[in-house]
Amino acid sequence: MTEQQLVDFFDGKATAFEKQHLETWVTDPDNQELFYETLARWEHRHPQFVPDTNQALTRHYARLNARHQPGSALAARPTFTTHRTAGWMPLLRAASVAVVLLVATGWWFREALLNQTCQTAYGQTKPIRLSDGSRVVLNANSRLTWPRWGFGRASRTVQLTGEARFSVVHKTDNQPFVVKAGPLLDVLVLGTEFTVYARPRGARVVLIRGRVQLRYHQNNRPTQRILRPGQLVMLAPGGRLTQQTTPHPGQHAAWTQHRYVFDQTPLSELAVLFAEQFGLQIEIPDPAVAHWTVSGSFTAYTADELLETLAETANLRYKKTGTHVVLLPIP
Amino acid sequence: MQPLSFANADQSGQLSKAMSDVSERTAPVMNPLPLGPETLIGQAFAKNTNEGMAALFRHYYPVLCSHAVRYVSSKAIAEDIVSDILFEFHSQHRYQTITTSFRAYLFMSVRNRAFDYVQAEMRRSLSLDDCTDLAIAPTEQPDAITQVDELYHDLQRAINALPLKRRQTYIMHRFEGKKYTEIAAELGLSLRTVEAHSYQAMRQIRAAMHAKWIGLIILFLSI
Repeated sequence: MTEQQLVDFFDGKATAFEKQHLETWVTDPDNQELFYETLARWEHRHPQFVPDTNQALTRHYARLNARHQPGSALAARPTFTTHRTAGWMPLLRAASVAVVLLVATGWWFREALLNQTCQTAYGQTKPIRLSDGSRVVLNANSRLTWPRWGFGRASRTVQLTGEARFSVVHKTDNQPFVVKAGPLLDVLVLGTEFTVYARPRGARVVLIRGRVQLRYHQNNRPTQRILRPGQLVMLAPGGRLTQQTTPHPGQHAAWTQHRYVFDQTPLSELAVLFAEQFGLQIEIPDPAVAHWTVSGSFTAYTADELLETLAETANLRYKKTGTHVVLLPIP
Repeated sequence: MQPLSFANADQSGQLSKAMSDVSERTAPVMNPLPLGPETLIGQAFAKNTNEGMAALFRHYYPVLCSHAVRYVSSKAIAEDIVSDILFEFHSQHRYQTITTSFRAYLFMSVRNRAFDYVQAEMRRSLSLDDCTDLAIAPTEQPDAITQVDELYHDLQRAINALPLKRRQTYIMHRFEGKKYTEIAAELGLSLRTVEAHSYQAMRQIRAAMHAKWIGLIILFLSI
């Protein structure tokens, strides 16, 4: 391998045969040194940009010093040592009162103590990273609750109200991940990606990839069902379950990118979406207009943006007062 | 050629040009024979660790950043990757245990991390994920050194294949780290158009990369 050949290779001009030869040639440690030496020289001759080395060095030392800082916070922690022998009893009494108070408040706030909760406001989405590495994106007006301690050790169970997209990490011991979506439905997962919707008007699970098991009650009997990618399952508030196949399961997670995908969606259904995600009450006085449908993919970061885009597309005008919106056709 | 006889007439010239401010402060002693960077760094480490690290930064920080940006397309991310590697090198005392040259070790680490970064980014696009925190887990290493180089060749080809405006927007946003509003003002385009260009550029690059690199991505998906 000549140096020129290496340079040609870095330039992207090597032939397939040269590349093949290079692959075996470079396994020799000496050749590897030569490889990187030539690479360094080549990179010198073709700099893509010139970073500020002094600044980088300053940052490096700042970071190194910061690493040694936390120790000082530890040292500052006060230590409690009492050597007084007199007054044992009052101390004991005070301590027992404190313990009782602590236990009582602990019991009172047990939910908050044992569980961690993440809640989103209207129009807000939020990414969450769980301690087992799984990721959740919470849609607007939704709440996710999970155990503060031992998550991923004994079990992985979270509780959802609203809508969320889950990316669950597979564990080597096949420990399942359970999403409790309302009182009727549990979604049991082993490393996969899916969206769950659990609001008063029903529940919906869309599987993007992997495999999940649904556990729900039908006619008051516990039932199970395995979901495959692209399948969409809806559970009505009464417990009736319907299943369909969706060609684009990812669209149900479009909201994670502030995208809204509609396919022949009637305006009346959009009104529900606005109420759930943005807390806006939409009124459509004309029943014919309520049946109009919208199709397409819209990007919007706020309710106003979405409203504006939709009105423009559907040839509508709207009047907004506070959280009340009236949709009217353009005459 | 011996690895350490890196005398390089051309390199020392470019080096001083690239970092005149650094070399001015620490003007080298006149040597009858110019010593290669590896020897100089070795001597600096022999004095103390801080001098050694300073020498590493002076000699290799710019080239490593320049190399990393070929993969990640962003100056800021490239600098982050190189800084992280050098930080670990220092804080975990790697300089005491390496068996290769500093150059080989650092280039290898930076290339592997950059390779991982690109893979993670592709994986992210597949899972429709827009999460900002992108953990770079050391995952599969490339089968061969040459594969790493092929990745940035393919990336460069994909970027070059972009239509002009799309490419301009992509480079201004990714490489130069400009905000969409700044780009819109500079190119005289609307904000929406700039966003669309950037989105399309990303999509086109990913599509171009998929055919060849899908195998690596599938490894991730089959968990």
